[in-house]
Amino acid sequence: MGYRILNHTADIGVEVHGATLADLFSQAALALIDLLTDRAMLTGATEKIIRIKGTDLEDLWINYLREILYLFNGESFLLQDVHRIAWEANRATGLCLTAYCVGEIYNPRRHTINTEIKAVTYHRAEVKQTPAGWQGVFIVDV
Amino acid sequence: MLKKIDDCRWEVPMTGGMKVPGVIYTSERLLEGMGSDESEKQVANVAHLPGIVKYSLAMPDVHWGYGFPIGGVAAFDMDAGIISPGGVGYDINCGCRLMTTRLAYDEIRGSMKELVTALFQNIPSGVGSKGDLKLSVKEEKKVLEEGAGWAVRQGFGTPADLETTEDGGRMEGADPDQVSDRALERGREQLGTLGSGNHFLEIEVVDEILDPVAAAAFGLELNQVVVMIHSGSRGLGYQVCDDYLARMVKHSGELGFPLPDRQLACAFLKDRRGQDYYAAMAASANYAWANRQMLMHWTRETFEKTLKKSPREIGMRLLYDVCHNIAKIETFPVDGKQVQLCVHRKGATRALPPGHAALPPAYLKIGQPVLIPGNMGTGSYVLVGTEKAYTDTFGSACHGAGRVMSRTQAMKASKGRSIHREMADLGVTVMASGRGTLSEEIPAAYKNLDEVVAVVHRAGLARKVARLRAVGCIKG
Repeated sequence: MGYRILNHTADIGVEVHGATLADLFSQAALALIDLLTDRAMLTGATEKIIRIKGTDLEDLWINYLREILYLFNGESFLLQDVHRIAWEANRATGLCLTAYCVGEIYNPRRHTINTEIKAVTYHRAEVKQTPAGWQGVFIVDV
Repeated sequence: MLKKIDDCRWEVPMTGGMKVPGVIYTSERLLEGMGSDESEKQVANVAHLPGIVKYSLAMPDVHWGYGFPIGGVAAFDMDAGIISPGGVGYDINCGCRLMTTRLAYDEIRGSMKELVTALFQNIPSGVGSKGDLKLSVKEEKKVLEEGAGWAVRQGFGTPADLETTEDGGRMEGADPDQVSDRALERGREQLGTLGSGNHFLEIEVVDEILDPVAAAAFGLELNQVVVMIHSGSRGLGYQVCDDYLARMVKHSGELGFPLPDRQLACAFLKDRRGQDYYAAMAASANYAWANRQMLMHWTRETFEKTLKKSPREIGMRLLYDVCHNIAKIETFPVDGKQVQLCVHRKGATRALPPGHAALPPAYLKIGQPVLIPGNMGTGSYVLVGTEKAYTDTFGSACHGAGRVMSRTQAMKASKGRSIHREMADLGVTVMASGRGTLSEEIPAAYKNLDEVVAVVHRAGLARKVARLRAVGCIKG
């Protein structure tokens, strides 16, 4: 499974496909990093655990992608791969996921940043089940 | 369906939950190019928000954004209305400043390459660009409180610069404590940087004077060298918008009405959440003004050193600085009464008429300079605010050309072409730090600036004063 870029005048939209929900979330992270940089140049030298909450699946989807973007913008961490995602659902607190990721700290001498992504927006955010598995859409502001 | 009102205005009639109609300022030609009806839907979506006054507006440079359209203007009642981070945009107080000089184009023509190279070296630009100074959090909070005045106190420019900056370069009501640690951290190293994407610093020449009286009041003359800077609040502003959107999305169930799009997440102006956002947004706006003030200071220094002339000979004066992504508490006439409103301008420029109390003394008789940057290579316009904008559009006009091509379309259209060479053929020396920036920003990716400005002029929202031609440009 993978993703394709949607045309959007001011921004970039991405439609992501996954066999399972975990696959969908992993693919989305990779799509976001692909927009930022050449993922082939990244190593998985550093481990990172991302814990994120959301009121529903769409909220969780965007919060998760916002966090991955922040890891780069705020901590210079470029995610290379997502190894595993663990889920929790709780009626009181909503949904929660823990993503076990690897990546490395941005090094301007080795990594090229293709596009400055200002944010992952909530606009047209979507996560749904399809006959083939799962599909999600997100739009980034560039 | 759009209903034509006159040659400049189309109405989005009230349907469903819309509280007011929408009005799009445009022309037949621009409408054809709009293609997607998505912008129209976004104008209608904004009209659903509580406390919206008169209409949901779109300027002729409107294009498909997210939540509020880019080029959107909406005013909200202070008691019943809302404030929305998505109605301001991620780049809080993204804006323009225009500086005039005492130089004629002939005096710098031979040094263009040198000048552009020196500007490119002295002004940090590009993705996530970092400045020379790393602020302590304590000092950064002073920037957030004091705005451009902070920069002037540090020696970046003179007090006279503040007089011709919108709001004196400092927005009231800023509270740095409402800005998150994440935003503060991102802001520490980015003060005094241009950024990337559509941000730029451009050397331009006054190509045409369209209103001699206003041009004289603004200090503009034919063949004069001027400099336009387009930048904003960098990562700090993006993070503030992101933080507050998430917070408002989380609590959107408490608003008591359904949101047509989560990106329209908002809070009532009277509520704590709305007030906190306003205080953080104002702090970000101040950061952006300090940022543009510093960029201008280094531009002055670079001109002096490269051209080996004194500050007096260069005479670089700030004509004006306007923000075009902001929400402000301002007073406008509604049904014959003066009413205080929260005016959101997302990709729209304030345009105040002659005699307005917020104008600097030098422009009181003539009206506010309205700065409209074009895209790379086409130059810019200077307009002047009118009474019509004051009564009809909450003192607002357009902010630029507005995109018509997505970035991917632009990349495709420019494949195999040397945009660098094409720009040089147009007489523009360009330097960019990003590999894809020039391709994404090709002139064809934007609406025709002349047409956008013609609509604003015809509709009477602002009057054309001068057209500026680009000769040198640095981009991130």
